[in-house]
Parts: sequence; C-alpha cells; structure tokens
Amino acid sequence: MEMIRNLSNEELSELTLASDERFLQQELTALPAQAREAADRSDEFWAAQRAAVWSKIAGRERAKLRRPVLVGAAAAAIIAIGILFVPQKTKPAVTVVPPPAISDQELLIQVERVVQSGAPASLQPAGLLMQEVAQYAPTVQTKESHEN
Amino acid sequence: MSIDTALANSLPSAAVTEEEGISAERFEQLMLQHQRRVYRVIYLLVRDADAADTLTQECFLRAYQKRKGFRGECKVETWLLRIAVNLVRDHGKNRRVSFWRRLIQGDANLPDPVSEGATPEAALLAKEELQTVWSAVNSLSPQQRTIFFLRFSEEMPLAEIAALLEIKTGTVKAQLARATGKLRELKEKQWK
Repeated sequence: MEMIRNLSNEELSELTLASDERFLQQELTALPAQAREAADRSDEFWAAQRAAVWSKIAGRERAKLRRPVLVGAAAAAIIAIGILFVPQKTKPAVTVVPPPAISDQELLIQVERVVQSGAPASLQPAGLLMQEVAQYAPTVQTKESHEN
Repeated sequence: MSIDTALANSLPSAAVTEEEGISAERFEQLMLQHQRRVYRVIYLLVRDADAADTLTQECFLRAYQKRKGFRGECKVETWLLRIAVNLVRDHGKNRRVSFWRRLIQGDANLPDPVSEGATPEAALLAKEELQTVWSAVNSLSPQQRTIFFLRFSEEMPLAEIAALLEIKTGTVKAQLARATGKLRELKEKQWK
C-alpha cells in the first residue's frame, strides 16, 4: 500500500505558486516588457544621472576632506569658550597696606620729641636708648668706610 | 545601439568582482552597466520617476562609498539591488503619505500597455487587465511587492532574490505564493 505523505510548507508554496502563475500567465508574461517600457528613459537622462552621481561623490569627498579641519576648529573654539566661561577659583583679594614711609632718622626725631616734651617715667629707657644710638651712630659709619 | 549600451554589453560582469573591491575608475563602468536595472527596480517599487531618479543616485553614491568593502560574495548586481531595496524601504518609511496620494490620484504613472497592431478593443482589454495587476500589486506588503517585481518583472531566480533580501529561499517562495494568491483572488473577483 502506498504511503501518502503530507506536503511540507515549502512544497505547498511551490504548488500554489505554480498554479497561480498559470492562472496569471497572461499578466505575468506582459509584466517584464511593461516594466521596461515604464522605466525607459533617454540616453541624456542616464548620462545626467551618472553626472549627478559623480557630482554628489565629489561633494561628499570635499566634505570628508574639510571635516578634520572643521572638527579641529570646533574643538579649539570649545576649549576657548570653556576657558572663558568656566568659573575660576576666586582668590581673596589681599590688600597690602604699605607701611608708612618713615625713615629711621625721622623715627628717632619723633622719639626724641616725645622724650623732650616731658615723657612719662615709663618712657625714660627710650630716651637713654636714643642717646646711646646717637652716640654710636658716627662710629658705625666710619667703620663702614674703612671696610670699603 | 548607443555608446552606453555598447560599453555596458562589452563589460564582463566579473570585471568588478576582484578581491580588492571596486576601484573608482571602474565605478563609471559599473554605473553604465547597472543603472537602468537599478532605476527600473526602484521605479517599480516607488512609482515616482523623480524619487526613483534620486534614489538611484543615492544608491550609486552609497555603493561608491562602500565599494572597498565589496568582496564579491555575491554578484555586483545583487549587491547594488540590495542597496536599492534598502533605500526604497527607508524611503517608504519616510513617506507613508505616498500611499494615500496614490490612492487618491490612481495609477497615473502606469505605462500604457497598448501594443502596436492590436485592435482597439483588444488593447483596451489588455490595458484593463494589466491595470488590475498593477493596482493589485499596490495592495501587497512592501516585501511581497519587492519579491513579486524581482521575480516576475526582473525575472530573477528565487535563490538570487533570497540572497538580495538576505532571507531564506523558502521565505521567498512563501511570500511570492501569498502575493500571487492575492492577485488571483482579485482577478477572480473581477470576473464575477
């Protein structure tokens, strides 16, 4: 007894397709010619199309060449903007108050005035110190001149 | 015979399937050889002459950019048509509205199938039948429509269609059977 096997999906598709192709034979046979006719263009059209392709290719190639330069410029601009706009650490402003310009000589004169104008007893040592400085000052200058 | 046709016929298809890919010099020859078919397939799928022209240019532009990656695993034509079909798919995604436009305008772009020498009655009948087929093809899914045109308009073997669309041959057969089934159904309805 002959075994009847089931058709696989692919085999079923093939059979259906063959049947449909037979049924639509007239339309399907006309289709290639009809498609060729529909897409038929003049030689100028094809030449223009190739020229357009080459033009696009040239445009893309130029853009590709310009890209590294543009990228470099953009990166430089971003860095510059970053430097300008990134908040910098604000250092506290140090106000240096210059000491009053007063020479040693003037200081001694001021001390002497204070002492001579009836200074209190507590400032007596300052008066002695001043006398002592005044006494030795010329000696130091002489010594310096010897050294020179 | 035009210069283009003569050049295209004289070029062996294996000339561009070398291992190093396709050189820029050979690309012009490649366009000469394949632009008509690429355009035709795109045109059949989008039904818009301007869009078909633009997409054909884009197809060759992409092919040029990817030419060094072509290693001859398939025929150059299959490779080009794969790019074309992918472009049409993307184009379709971006232009869903075209379906409605076609529906409203009808198939005004369809060629006139009247053959020379046919009687006016026979020509009219042939035209109506073909219009039916073209309209019915529009109702197919994008993949079914692509497979249908590649098989019956471009007369490509099933295995090549499968390679082009990167699907199994069995899937191509199944999709094609569904497509022809729909067309058959439509034709039968018309007869009734």
